[in-house]
Amino acid sequence: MQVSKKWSVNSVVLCVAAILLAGCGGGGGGGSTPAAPTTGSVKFTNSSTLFAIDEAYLALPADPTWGVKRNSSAIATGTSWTLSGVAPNTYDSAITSYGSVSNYYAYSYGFAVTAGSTYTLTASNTSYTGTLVVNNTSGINSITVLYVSTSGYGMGGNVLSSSIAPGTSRNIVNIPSGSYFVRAVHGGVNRDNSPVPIASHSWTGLTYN
Amino acid sequence: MKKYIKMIGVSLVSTGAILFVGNAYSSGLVGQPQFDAPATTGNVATAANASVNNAAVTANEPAGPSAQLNATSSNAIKQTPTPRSGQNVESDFFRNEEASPK
Repeated sequence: MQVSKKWSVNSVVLCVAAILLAGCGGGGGGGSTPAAPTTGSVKFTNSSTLFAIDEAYLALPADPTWGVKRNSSAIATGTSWTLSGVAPNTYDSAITSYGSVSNYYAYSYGFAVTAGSTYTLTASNTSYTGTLVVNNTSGINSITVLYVSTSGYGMGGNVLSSSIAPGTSRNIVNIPSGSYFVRAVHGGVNRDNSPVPIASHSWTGLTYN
Repeated sequence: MKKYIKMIGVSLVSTGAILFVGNAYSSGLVGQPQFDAPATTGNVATAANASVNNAAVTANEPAGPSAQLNATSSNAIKQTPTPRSGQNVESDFFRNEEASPK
């Protein structure tokens, strides 16, 4: 009788143990699922072999300006930099690369950044705008109007925000690569040049005397 | 005699129970410390799995969308970032073209 009672007690204890063990087995899968990401990233990849990305901008399409640059240091050739924590939305982006006479720019518009995803923007040697350097070496005449167009002389509107005074120069920046017709109204006279080549990350000079 | 038979019956049942748990018993799962050990192991295993899963997701993340930056602006609303000092006065090809009558 003593033996039977002892076995019974052992049975109860070990059965409870078995139940507890079985219960523990399925408890490891819950509570460790990572929270869903709420932001995305924009990766600026500089595949150019020549030009660093000195400034990187990100703005909403309706923003009136590009705002402040997002990168704290230049993105060297062959490297990338990622802007993280970007709220999901549609964005515009611009980059700036420093040149000897002006800055050069490249853009991407209307791309979607989604949560948990990285949108990659790539710049190459040919990505950038070029600059037209207009030198007015005349001692008398101003250049009052300047047309820069791919379609013909006098097309596309005046690109000057103010006249180019005698003895001064003006950089016309942000021009896409291509071959242009340039008309300057210099001392009231139309002066035409074509073709005027504009290339990525470079400048072309025109001198009016 | 009846009591003796009844006791044997209980003993057989009890023996069955003991044999059922016997593997755990003989494997060292005895008493409270043994119950704690499997639970702790389970948690560690779960954490390790979660970590491995996270790493796998990162490594296998498909390439995201991308675009090539270019010099063609289809949107001239924004002002070009400020030019550097010490350079010629600038006029913005896009901004002024947009602002000027065609």
